[in-house]
Amino acid sequence: MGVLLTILIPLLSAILILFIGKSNSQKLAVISSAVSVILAGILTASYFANPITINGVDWSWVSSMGIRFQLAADGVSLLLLLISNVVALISIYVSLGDQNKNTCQYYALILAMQGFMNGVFVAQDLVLYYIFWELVLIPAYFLLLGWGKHDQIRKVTLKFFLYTFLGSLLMLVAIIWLGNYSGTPDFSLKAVTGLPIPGDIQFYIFAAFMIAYGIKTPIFPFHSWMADTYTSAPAPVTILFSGVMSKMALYSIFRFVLPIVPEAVETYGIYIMQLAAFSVLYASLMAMAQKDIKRIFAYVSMAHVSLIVAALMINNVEGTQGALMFMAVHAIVTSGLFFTAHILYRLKGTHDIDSFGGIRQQMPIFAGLYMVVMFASIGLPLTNGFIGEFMILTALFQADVVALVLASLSIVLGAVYMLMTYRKVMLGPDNTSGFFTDLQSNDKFLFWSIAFVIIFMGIYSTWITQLCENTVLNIFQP
Amino acid sequence: MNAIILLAAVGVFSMFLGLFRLRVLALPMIILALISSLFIFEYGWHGDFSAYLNNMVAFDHYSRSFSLVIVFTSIFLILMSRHYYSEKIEHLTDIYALIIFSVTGGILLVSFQSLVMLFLGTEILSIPLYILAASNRRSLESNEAGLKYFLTGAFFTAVLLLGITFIYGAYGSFDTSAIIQAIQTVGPSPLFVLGAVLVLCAMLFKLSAVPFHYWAPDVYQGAPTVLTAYVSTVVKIAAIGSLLKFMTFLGFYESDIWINLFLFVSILTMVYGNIVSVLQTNFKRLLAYSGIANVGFVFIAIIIINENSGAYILYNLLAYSISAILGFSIYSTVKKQTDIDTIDGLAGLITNNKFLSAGFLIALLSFAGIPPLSGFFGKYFIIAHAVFGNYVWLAVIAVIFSVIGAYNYLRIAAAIVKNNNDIPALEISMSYKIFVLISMIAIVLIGIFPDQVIGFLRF
Repeated sequence: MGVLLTILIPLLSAILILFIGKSNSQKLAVISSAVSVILAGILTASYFANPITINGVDWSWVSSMGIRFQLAADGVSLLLLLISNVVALISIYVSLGDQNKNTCQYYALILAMQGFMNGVFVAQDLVLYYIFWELVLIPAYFLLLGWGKHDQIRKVTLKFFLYTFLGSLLMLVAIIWLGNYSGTPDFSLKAVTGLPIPGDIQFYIFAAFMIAYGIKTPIFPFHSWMADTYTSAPAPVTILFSGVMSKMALYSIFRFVLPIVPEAVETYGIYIMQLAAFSVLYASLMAMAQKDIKRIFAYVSMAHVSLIVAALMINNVEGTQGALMFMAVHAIVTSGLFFTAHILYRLKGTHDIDSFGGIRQQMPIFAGLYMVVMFASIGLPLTNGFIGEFMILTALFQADVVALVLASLSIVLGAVYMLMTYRKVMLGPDNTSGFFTDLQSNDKFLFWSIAFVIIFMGIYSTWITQLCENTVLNIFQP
Repeated sequence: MNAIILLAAVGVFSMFLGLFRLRVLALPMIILALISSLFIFEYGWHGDFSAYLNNMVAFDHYSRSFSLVIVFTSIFLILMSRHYYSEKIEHLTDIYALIIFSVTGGILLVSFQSLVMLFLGTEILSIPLYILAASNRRSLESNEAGLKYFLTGAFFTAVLLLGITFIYGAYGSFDTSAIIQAIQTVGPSPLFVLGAVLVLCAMLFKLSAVPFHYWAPDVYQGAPTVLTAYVSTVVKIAAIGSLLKFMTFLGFYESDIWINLFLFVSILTMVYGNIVSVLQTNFKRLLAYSGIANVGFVFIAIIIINENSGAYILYNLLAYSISAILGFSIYSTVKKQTDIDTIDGLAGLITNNKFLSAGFLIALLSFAGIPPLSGFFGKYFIIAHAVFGNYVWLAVIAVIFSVIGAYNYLRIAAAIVKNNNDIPALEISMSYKIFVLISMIAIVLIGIFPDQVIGFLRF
């Protein structure tokens, strides 16, 4: 029941929020997402006390098609639930500082998106999973369309929608094929795992899944929707997109691709790994060429999620654990980065990096906290970024030299462009010609919390590995 | 047969109500008659008319499923026309009567047992539509649409008749069971094949499948929106009902040629409909092309025929029809008060008309196939049908063109939620609100309980 509540609480709040006033809507949104975080925390604690899969509900739904409404959460699902709800809370908290038009609809859409994303992480039936996956797209689409800032926001939004929709429909065909493998349709995860699928067909299914996930992540050839979308979405929505929506794809690679088509991963995974490693390099180079601070962070995010894809394609316990660790790290770090961009935007109404400089003199606390987030992004020891990158690079070292070299190179590049951005924005002569007060109480609280989590995870991170251990071992040693 | 008698009588009666200035009674009476005919079909109270009918129609399970969907859709359509014609009240009862007569024709069409009935059903279905298409007398476009629809329709009626004559010439009977028997003993004669092709052409015309689609965009755009909604929903259900029956009855599936023919038509229709719809700026034209594309999509279930095909087709068309009626209806409300007929003109509808926009968006998202709205399972069942039937490549083609279709619907959705203030708050009556609400609930419920609906429609 607790698992069902993770979906129901945000969705019911989303409906309720449409009918109450503006000031109440903000309160309800914060309360609802805080309750979701607590609920995810309780579920995680109960899993630590007794590490078996927490069964949610199992209702028959479309029985003629073998589709069941089946929810359950194991260690990895719980990790992703934590990520999703924490990031949603951050996103809502960031929104509080803005004067939005149509406040009620805005929070309703954010909460709906949170509910559907939670659904993706706990669905145990592939068609149900697909339905949640698709449903996430709807609030995302309207959030981008209604609140995005871009001259041609309709074009940007359509591009984003069509890219992801095409990918997911191809995945649907693969899902239907898998569900019908035995002759009687059955889409439960248990039924489709470990099917004796012939090698050439495994390739097609692998391709259909990886196109869908490659688009959503995004990795190199499928990324062209990403920069515009992340840049023109309002910061809280960008936080949700890069913090959770990209995790949906990474989680799905772990949950579906690795166990369902193991032979194809064995054979073709190396190519995806190298592609993803190239994608890390590509994103890093792109980040260096940008002038728009949000665009820089969008490419930073792309570099990191590509690294996770490469780690997943190593297809062993170490790589997967590294990938899962880095997912948690990336969710926090990317939230911190886009939050920084948002605060800068509030100061000057622009994301252009050249119009900033010397902000540290006026806002020392902000500068210090931004530095923590930046170090985490670079992967400095004592921050959580270090743990994630270290685990992944160690695993890559054993797997593939090409991918390792590409990925390591881009980590060096990462340090270069992150430090360069920091220098241009925070240091140097004060050319802002304005007077800024340092962070206000709300922002300060949130930023301190993010920095605290970054350091805390940097010092004590084994709990994440422990949380995922059983699930990961299950996949590799069934 | 009771249902047909009831509906025909109510249609005639409705015209008299108009004469005696008792128009208020017409709508409840017709709705009541439609609901009772739902019960008649569900419980099979058809009465014993076999002596009079000479076995020309059969109200079997097949006819039950299709008739239920036709009648159910017509209820929404009648409710829609009540609001569409709210200013031209003097002809309202006649318009109800014409729709009801046409529905009767649709029921005959899906129940035919003899080729004569096939012809009669087509005519009873079509003739009221020619009148309705031109019913907007003062509009030049409506007159043009009526004339176009009549001329092309009359031509294909002649084609249908010619086809039936050839089949009769080949075997000397109109009765389908006699024809099947003759085919099995003598084998299909060339004359029969020629006749069958002509009959199929006439049916493809009614469905506006490529290459017989050219009339649809003009008629859709020019005709009154109620007729557009009717032609794109009830007529298509009836036509595909007769097509499927004709195909299965006459044993076309024994030869690959027919499957390949439909494969060709299906892909051509999907490709053409979806690609051309991208270029449209007029809302009704766009729905005309996307309706064409949907027919191509539905044909997939005809290509891979088994006991599930009929139910999946019906589910898809039911989902499509309710969404289409809702979409057309809201569009016509907007058009009537602001004279907007382009997609860009709809920009900013949501600012002052939250309720209408919500209805519109639900209809559009259902068209696009977004779960849990009914359009999703409408698409899902047919894609699953193709994958289960080992036509994965066809499923992939259908999916790719579905994305193009979705692009069109989202184009409209994007316009609606745009941030501007051009469209003032529109006046909508309470009863219209209820109609929109019922349609929205129907779209959601059909999508959430697909299994129950499919179980109900199976024959």
